[in-house]
Amino acid sequence: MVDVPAAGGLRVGARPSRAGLDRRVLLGAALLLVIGAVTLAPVLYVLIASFDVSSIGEPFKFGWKGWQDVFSSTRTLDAIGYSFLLSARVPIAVIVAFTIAWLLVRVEVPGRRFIELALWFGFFLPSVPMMMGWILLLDANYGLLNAAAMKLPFVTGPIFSIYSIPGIMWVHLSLTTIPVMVILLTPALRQLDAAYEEAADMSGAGTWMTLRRITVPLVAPAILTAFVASLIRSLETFEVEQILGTPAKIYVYATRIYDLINWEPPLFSQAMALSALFLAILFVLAFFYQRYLRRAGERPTVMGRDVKLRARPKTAWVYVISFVLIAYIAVSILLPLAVLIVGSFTKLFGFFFLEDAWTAGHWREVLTDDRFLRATLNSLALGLTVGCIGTLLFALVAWCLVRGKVWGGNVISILVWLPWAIPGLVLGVTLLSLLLNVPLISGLYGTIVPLIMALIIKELPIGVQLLRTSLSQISGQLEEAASMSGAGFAYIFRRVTLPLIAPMLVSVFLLVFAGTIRDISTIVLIATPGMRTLSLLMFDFAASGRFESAAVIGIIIAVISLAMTAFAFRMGERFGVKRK
Amino acid sequence: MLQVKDLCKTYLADGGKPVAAMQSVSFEVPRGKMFALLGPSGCGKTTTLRSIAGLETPDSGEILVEDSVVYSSGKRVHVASNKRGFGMVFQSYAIWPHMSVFDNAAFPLLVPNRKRKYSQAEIRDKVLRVLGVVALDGLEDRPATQLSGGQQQRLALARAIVTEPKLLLLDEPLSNLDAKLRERMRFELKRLQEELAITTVYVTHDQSEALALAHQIAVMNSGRIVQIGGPRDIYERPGDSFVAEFVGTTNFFSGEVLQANGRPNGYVVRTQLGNMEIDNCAPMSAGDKVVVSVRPEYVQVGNSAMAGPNSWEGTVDTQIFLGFCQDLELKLNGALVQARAHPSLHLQAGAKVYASIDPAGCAICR
Repeated sequence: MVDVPAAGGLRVGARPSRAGLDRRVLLGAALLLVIGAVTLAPVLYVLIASFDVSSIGEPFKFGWKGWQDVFSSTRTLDAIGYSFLLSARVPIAVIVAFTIAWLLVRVEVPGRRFIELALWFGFFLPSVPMMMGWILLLDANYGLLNAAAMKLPFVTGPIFSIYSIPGIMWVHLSLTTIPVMVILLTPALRQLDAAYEEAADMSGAGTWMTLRRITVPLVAPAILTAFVASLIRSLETFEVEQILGTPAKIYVYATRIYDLINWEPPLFSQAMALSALFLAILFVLAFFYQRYLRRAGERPTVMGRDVKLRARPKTAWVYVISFVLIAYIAVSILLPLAVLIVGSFTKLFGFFFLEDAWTAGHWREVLTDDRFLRATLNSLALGLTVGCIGTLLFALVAWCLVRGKVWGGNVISILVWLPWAIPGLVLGVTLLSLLLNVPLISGLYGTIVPLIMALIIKELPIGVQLLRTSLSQISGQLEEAASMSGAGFAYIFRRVTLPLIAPMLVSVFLLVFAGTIRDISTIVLIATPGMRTLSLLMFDFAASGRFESAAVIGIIIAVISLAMTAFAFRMGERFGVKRK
Repeated sequence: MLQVKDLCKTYLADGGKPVAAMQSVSFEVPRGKMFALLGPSGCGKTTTLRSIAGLETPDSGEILVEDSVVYSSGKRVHVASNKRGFGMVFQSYAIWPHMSVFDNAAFPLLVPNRKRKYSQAEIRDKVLRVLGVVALDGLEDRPATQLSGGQQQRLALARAIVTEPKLLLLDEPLSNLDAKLRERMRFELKRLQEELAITTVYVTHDQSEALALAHQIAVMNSGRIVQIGGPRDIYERPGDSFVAEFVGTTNFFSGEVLQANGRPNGYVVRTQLGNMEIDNCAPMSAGDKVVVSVRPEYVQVGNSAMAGPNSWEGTVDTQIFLGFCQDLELKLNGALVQARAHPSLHLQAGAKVYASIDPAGCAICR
């Protein structure tokens, strides 16, 4: 149905024309080939390497030893246990984030634009420096909040300890899990035709019943996407667990893999065997997710006309809610950021109360560093390229899956999840060995191209999933109408499809952009010295103990992200569907 | 039963320019009657309906149902829409796609209610009965997404009336149906409304729907009610040229009153057609500038000269054969006049023709 205008209106119930069928098979096969190649290659690499028991330099030797060793170690089992314990933050985040998203969209609390922007901003903030901010606040010995709390009566010891399970969960919840879920759920709620809720309202249902029986079931696909995505990310995250977990002897799945790779000599087969377990979990999740979506039917909930929202009448409660949300933002995002900024001006990171504690030296040092300018340009170039190309590509793939009814669509839907199953480091290793060993593409090593490819692959799952849910909520008739007006596929896609999903496109672009400029693990191995990005530079500084300089770069990344968020919001408003 | 008093609402349009959606809209609907709000899109009819529903808050005014206030800007009362106990059918139907037909219709009964808690058996009984009323019996276990447009419309209606509400609000309920189905549903709705004797407010832009269904019609234009009356009043005695043109087709002749013609409330008006006799209109005096509205069906057409007042000779300009009648455009004294004639009359474009206008079929618009 790509550009066969005559058949466009007859699709429902009619047998597809011969030409349409061929086109679908061809398109499907091409898509299957490309997506299959980029997603399956790292998976195969993981599986093969997990059975490779040779030492470094030797040819491949098959054996089960890696699997046996890794799963007989109690540390591995503990790590898996801790990983699942820590992933309990995901259901908590779903409830909190849905509440916030609903308040923002349906209740229209005052200051909602600020709150939404702040959550985006919070999500953009690089996690390592923000975590350093939290350490300054919550450390059991010198944390500012603990020190303040001890001044209260009846408090004898430190209340908070960041090096603990609740500490790790809090850092994740406040910096990533809740913001990203609000970001994912807000557009879904915004696209929901308000008449569904108004009909419940007119049936006499109260807010709670409408939420429970109408709103939540209707946005369930989006909630599930957010849930599965966050669950997988929660199993994959690494830097926070490494720094906060190690002192408390909390090891998780991802830090365990890192340990195994960093072993002397590296225990690759064990690391890969553990990665394979993760792959299996992901397969199960993706399978059930897919089955659920099929059962729920990808039913359109946007009718084309009447995409209007109704604000509830403002009452005093609205201002209370607004106050609570803004207070939450202030505590969860602004406070650690403020401490971080102050920290970047200290001579010794975190020591605020020394005599003569302050200096602007770190800022001067970073800003005059040659590497800084190059890294800034690299980050921007990479973020914009990956953001634009990626978003468009993901939209095309999502369109093929939802509307194109391409051949092999089911398989492709599962395949697009795969890049998430692979820790960034492993994806990097795979690409590196491909770059060094395959003659045709080895010329690309040292350019920006492999970085772009790696990051697009990395962001493929979230991008495609989000745009899919968004597209499936839009009635196909809107595109068919354009087709009947004589428009070709490219024109329809540009003038009808993309504007209709503009809010989600903006979200995906921002997610990809943020993911790109934050990324360390995927590109750390393939970025040659000329290709260092701001995050890598920050990582280099932190690794060599220069926390103050790392904090400076973290703040600069945050500022770039803020500017990008504001800009993208503007664009989304200009090109999206106008809402009253 | 329903009293709407002086509703006003102003929106800020995209450019920040204020747009008056309602300008002191007032009307009353007696118990058991159907009242239609008729007007072009953007005239404020939907805003009025949504204000009655409580889905929108007017800037000022008052809404009373059975003498109890549901909205009043003066008394600072705004009963929430879910506490008003009205039924509503939405233009898009808003049938919940994740529920079966039964669950959609049963939803209003499942709402926790202090007055009345329904048992499972009662709910089943009520839902099956209401589905029977709208002729959806036997489909209760279907997923709602598998219903056709007409079935969805009836399900939306079933959901709206299952609690036997005091007031039923219909927002363009037939506009998404095809013509045949729309005509059938028109009869169904009328029968249902009379059977249930449920007070109904009906929003539509389709004049024939309003004429067919409503006991009273309010014609709205740019936020104001321009005329309220029974279907016959509105059609035969339109208050102004907007109403005359919006409700049906009409010919306008502007002219000047010459004198009374001797019959009670009868006048002679000079128009571009010549002097016209007009009966049964409000008192006027000589020299008044007026617009005369003549419905095409009051223009009598024939092959031979006609006696009586308002008779002219002319030619057929265009002719459209519609089966049950034919629409003609005649050239009389240089003016184009639309006429509707019996299909048995054989006329060709260009043919000579005689026409006369019944003085009682003319209405004066100002």
